[in-house]
Amino acid sequence: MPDAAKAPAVPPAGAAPLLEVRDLRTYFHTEHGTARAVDGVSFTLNRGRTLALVGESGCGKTVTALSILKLVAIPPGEIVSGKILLDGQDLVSKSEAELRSIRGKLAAMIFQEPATSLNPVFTIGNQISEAISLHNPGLTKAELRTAVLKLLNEVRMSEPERRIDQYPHELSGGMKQRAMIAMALSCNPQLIIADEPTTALDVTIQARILELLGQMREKHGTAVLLITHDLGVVAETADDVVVMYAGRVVEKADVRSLFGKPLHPYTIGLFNSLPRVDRSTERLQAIPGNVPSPTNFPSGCRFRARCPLATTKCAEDPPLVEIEPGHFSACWFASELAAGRVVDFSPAEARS
Amino acid sequence: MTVAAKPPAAANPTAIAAKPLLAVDKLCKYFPVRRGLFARVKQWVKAVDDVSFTIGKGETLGLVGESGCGKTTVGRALLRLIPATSGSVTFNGRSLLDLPRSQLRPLRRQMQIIFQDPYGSLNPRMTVGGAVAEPLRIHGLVRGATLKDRVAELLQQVGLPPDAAYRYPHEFSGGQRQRVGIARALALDPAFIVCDEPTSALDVSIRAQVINLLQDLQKNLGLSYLMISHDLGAVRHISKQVAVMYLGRIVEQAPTAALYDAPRHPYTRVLLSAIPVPDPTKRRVRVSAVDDEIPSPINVPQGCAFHPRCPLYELLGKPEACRKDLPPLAPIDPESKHLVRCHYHADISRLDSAK
Repeated sequence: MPDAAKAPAVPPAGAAPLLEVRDLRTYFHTEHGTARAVDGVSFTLNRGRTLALVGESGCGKTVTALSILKLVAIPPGEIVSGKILLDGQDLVSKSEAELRSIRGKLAAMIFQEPATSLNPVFTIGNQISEAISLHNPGLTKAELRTAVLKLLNEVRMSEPERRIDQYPHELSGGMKQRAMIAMALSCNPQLIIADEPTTALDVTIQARILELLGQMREKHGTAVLLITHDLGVVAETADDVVVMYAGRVVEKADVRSLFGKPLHPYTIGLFNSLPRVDRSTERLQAIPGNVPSPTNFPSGCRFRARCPLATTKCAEDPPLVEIEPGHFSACWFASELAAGRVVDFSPAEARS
Repeated sequence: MTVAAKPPAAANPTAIAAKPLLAVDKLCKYFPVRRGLFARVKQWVKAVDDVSFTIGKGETLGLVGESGCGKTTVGRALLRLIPATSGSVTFNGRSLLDLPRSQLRPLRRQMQIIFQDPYGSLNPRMTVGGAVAEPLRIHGLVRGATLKDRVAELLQQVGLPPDAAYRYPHEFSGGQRQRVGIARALALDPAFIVCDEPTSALDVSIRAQVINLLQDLQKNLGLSYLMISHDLGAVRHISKQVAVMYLGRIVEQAPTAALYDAPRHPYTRVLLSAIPVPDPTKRRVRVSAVDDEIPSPINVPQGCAFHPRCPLYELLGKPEACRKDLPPLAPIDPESKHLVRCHYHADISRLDSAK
């Protein structure tokens, strides 16, 4: 497929972004103390674009996604501060009843484990029609069935006439995820939030599901917020990337700048630690140490304990600053990195 | 204290080249399928069918494939954690599968396994020190104060602090728990370790640490690994040779670079091209399977098991041979170490020109 066909329609200049998250803070009050799972996260997503939220477990990427639709369990969770503007409406101040009409219609979510997000005692046809009828009351049974079949065809489900009456356990992992996508698409949302949609799937199926998400975006101009830990998936599907570490955004940029010239030591470390299929490597440069626990984030720069560049300066919290046009980094040494300073993780590795 | 003969640490290198540490020959594992509690066996799942390979001392064989291809069953069957249906496994010159249980135990000491989920394989009520010491105690190798020293030495070897011995598994992160699993496997001074998806549950930065650790241990201790994984990047990095499995059979086996850079089996092509590469400037042409769904291992297709999904079979106009005859796993040319199970592997490049 030529590249030009893949590029989504460019939104009209000056159009308001579809989603804007401003200084979001979601904390969990647990018996071990307050976990600052998301701690001041801001980003915007334009219509028809794909934004990837990348990071390792515990970095807050999933909680960010759940907070957008207010799907975080409250308590123990609490959206402490921040604004979530979806199509101009602030979701944080919305009531549960108002939110229900927004979920599904404006924004839908796809989860990592299709097996656990589908109800085992209903057929998939049943579950997809439920989603449709919630937002379109008054459709007859026959109309609903036609609508479901149309959706199943759209997500390229094999033998849709048979699948519609099957239960989740009769479908393979890939088919279940297709059913989830059909459900998410059922109300033509403007935003799809996909939380690790392919992590539980085999690579060949993953490739097909990502392809499908790309096609849906092209066809309907749906924006996608993709949450993933897989940098390969990011490179192949995202337009923009937000890298999270310990509840904070440490770097954001368009995908080519971020992969071409990462400007945060953590991002650089992630790239160095990847074993690649397309080339052989002698030794991986691992990032030393462990991801800090959300109840116990270090003060100042949260990466400093694992960072070879860290100095006393890093005890002070680095702000997220635009280093190059459109390329933001939260590191005191970002300009030096932009000028070509090298980060070497190996001596620290030898020390540990 | 009786210590059984250890595997020869550094014997004559030419002899090693001639005789592999581990030789698996025509290994099969069939599981019966019963419908109902007392029903008779109606069908068999051929989870592993005619699998053969060898691993030399200090070498790593990567065994890759998608879920359900039988790679994990190979690892379990060759360690006799589950009984094999047929075939033979020779370890250090001794045939393993027909050995009586009493003679199996000393051999078990030399063959260990590391699991994917270190949390699931560690007893939550046993301290890490206890878990690492357990194999030593069971085999009666080390006692008393020396036991403590040995545990401390093992923990240090895998990069854990000495006080880790007094803590419980839940106090550790995933990566540290995997280190505990590795320390436990190393306790008996094995020569061979089956690594079953050792890094699949770990984060990117931690995965690299564990891969590096496995490589360092291999270099220092001369270990041999069977690396079972669906992570083709990690396998490329760590393996000398790689075997690709599909529906219970090996479909391609080759030295690592040859397999990744010039795969000859259409399935290997499909698998490798499906992996997203972390480089947005690269737009690769993807070779896709004709059908996404893997057939059930109960009804493995006749002939070549991959033919119903094979893009090359389609391209060549559905040749009869693919439907009728199971292709042998054969070298691509007489002298080659590159084995492939495909009638038309010589035509593989046509998949590129087709796009």
